[in-house]
Amino acid sequence: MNTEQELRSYFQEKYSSLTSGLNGEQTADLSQLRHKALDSFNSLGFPQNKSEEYKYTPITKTLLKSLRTDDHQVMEPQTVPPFNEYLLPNLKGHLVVFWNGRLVYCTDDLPQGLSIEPIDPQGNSLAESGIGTIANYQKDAFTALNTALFNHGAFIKVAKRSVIEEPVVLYHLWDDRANYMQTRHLVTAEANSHSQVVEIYKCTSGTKNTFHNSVTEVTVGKNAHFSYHKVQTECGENIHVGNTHISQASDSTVKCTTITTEGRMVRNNLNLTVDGSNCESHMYGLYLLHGTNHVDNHTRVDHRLPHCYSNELYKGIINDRAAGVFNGKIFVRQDAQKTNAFQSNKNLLLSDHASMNTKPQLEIWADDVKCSHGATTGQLDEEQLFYLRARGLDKQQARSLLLYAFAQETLEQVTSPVLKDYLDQVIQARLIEDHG
Amino acid sequence: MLKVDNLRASVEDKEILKGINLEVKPGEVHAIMGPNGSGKSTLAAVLAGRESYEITEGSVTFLRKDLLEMAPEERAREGLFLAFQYPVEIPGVSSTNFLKTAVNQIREHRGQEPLDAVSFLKLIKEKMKLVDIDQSLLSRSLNEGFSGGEKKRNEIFQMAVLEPKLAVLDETDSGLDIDALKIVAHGVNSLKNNENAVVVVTHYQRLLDYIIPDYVHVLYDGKIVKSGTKELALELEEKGYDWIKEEANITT
Ligand SMILES: Nc1ncnc2c1ncn2[C@@H]1O[C@H](COP(=O)(O)OP(=O)(O)OP(=O)(O)O)[C@@H](O)[C@H]1O
Ligand SMILES: [Mg+2]
Repeated sequence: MNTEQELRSYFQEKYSSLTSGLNGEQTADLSQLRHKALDSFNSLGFPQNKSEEYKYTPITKTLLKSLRTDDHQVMEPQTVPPFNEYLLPNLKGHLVVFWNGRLVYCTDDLPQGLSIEPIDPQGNSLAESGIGTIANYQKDAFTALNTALFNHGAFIKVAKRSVIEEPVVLYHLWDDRANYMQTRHLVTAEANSHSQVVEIYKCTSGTKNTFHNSVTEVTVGKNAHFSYHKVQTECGENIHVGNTHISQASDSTVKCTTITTEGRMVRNNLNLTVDGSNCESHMYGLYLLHGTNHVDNHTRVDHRLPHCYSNELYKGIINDRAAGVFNGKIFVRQDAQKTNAFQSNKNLLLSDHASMNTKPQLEIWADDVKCSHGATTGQLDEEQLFYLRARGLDKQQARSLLLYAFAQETLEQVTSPVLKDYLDQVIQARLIEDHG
Repeated sequence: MLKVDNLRASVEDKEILKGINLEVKPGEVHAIMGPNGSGKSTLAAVLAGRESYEITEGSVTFLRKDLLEMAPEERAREGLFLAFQYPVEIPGVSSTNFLKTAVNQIREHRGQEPLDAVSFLKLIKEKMKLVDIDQSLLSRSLNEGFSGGEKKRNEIFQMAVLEPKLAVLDETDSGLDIDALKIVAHGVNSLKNNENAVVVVTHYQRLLDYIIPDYVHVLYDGKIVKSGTKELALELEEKGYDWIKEEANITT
């Protein structure tokens, strides 16, 4: 494909074949929603060169170059692949597994208060889900595309006052047979509940380009605690656009961590709408890039009501020819007095060819607020390196010790010890690979 | 043990060390004094291998090896230790983990087995007592948020653990109250034997009441302009540096 128009037509055809394949079996609501989303997608189009939002991430160009159109039928039922060997050993949780974008396993052993229903292309389980209300398909082409075309996903519901100890773990696994995947998840964490969701993205084999366009919509009820971890550690040549939209009601606490160590081109949009007072929102990110990885984290916090606190820390270590992008938007609306919003992005560039583009964006209409932001991009501290070497550590050991320490500040925010151990191992291995 | 011969070093084309000569033998204690900016810390840093200084002339041998050829970590493994004037804070690096790595690197270099967790813990407990350092300090990140005195004490603690052959203490006494000073001096003295040596850089004669030097050198404008015994330190304390500067300016 050569033009954005062709790329768009490709997906329009996919839409036609999806709807005709469903043979009128999908719910009327969903078919309407998909139709509207397709219209939006058509008018939005894939981001063009001049697009401010994708200025440093040429996603359309990359898709034109790399999207494979040799037809793998993502929708066709296949034999269930042996996914067990790709799960993180010891990570306990309520599992849902997708392979090449298709649901292959969904636990039915659920504690009281937790329900997980598979989402299918017909939309049978979506009646009460409120799909599309938080993830705005009118503004973002990828959210629109996903809404028009999603096939599988999970609808997770945590009932009022339920405390769910173990996380819901959504595994997205794929192999070379997938050319594109569109998964869609919905989470409703009702009032006073405690829960966590982990999304793990993992390429099981192969070196081909794959495209994953995922959307996760989360509603967090009053006084609920919700945490969300997104883990992109073994993603090979994947092109990923992920939209996580979270809406928070009063007195709720949300904590998100996004950890990326691999990917051809990754764009994570994390949108938090703080639609209640006295909320707490934490966002942590770590990207550890090498080779020609390109990872872009866009975050957006919208403070609409007073007395809320948000804190954001994203850290990056960028080596070789890899590129990092960070854009952090904070909106503080006129009614959101007494907001405390903090943002920080710190980066280490380890090679002359590594690059980082960082942009904080604060828009504040309220007058009684405390907001701060800061971004740094630099090299390892020579004084620190010398100190460690003067005590007998060689250059590589000193470097990896300092890099690990740098990463630690965000890693320690991962609440699950098993997941944290796993990430520790991935990061240590990477530091040894690159610096040892 | 250490022989510095006509050592010249500069930074960004500015000459800071202008021909240093110094010989330290096993069992000796040397004190280096001198006004601010005379080059004392530069000498210490050059000995430890800081790469930002360019050596333009001269040589340094340490235990019969060419010191200037070695990387900083090789110097440390050969038994050189620098207690920094301003120890850097390293957030996120645990003091104990770091020290364990350092000890085992040095042991490996000496052909010794690495210490396991238990023996390492035993070693640091013993050395902690020596410099009266608190366990809670070591469970924190390296030097992070330490007071000036705590940082200095941590330097001596590390020295005690690493048991160097030659220790260069750069103003380890500055800013210490008298109790802390005694502790630091006690630490240094109890590690002292006939096989190792110490070079203390200081502005204050006070320290030399506790760590008694065999030689006192005055560094001024990048050169050692006067050497003597411990009485020289008393004289400097009393008369200041002006007479030294005058003498030095006459001879040059
Ligand atoms: N990296 C550097 N860049 C530029 N100038 C330097 C650098 N390091 C040292 N100098 C200069 O070299 C001279 C000697 O500095 P040094 O720190 O060695 O002095 P000192 O004798 O240790 O002083 P003090 O007693 O204050 O600790 C000073 O004029 C200092 O400004
Ligand atoms: Mg100095």
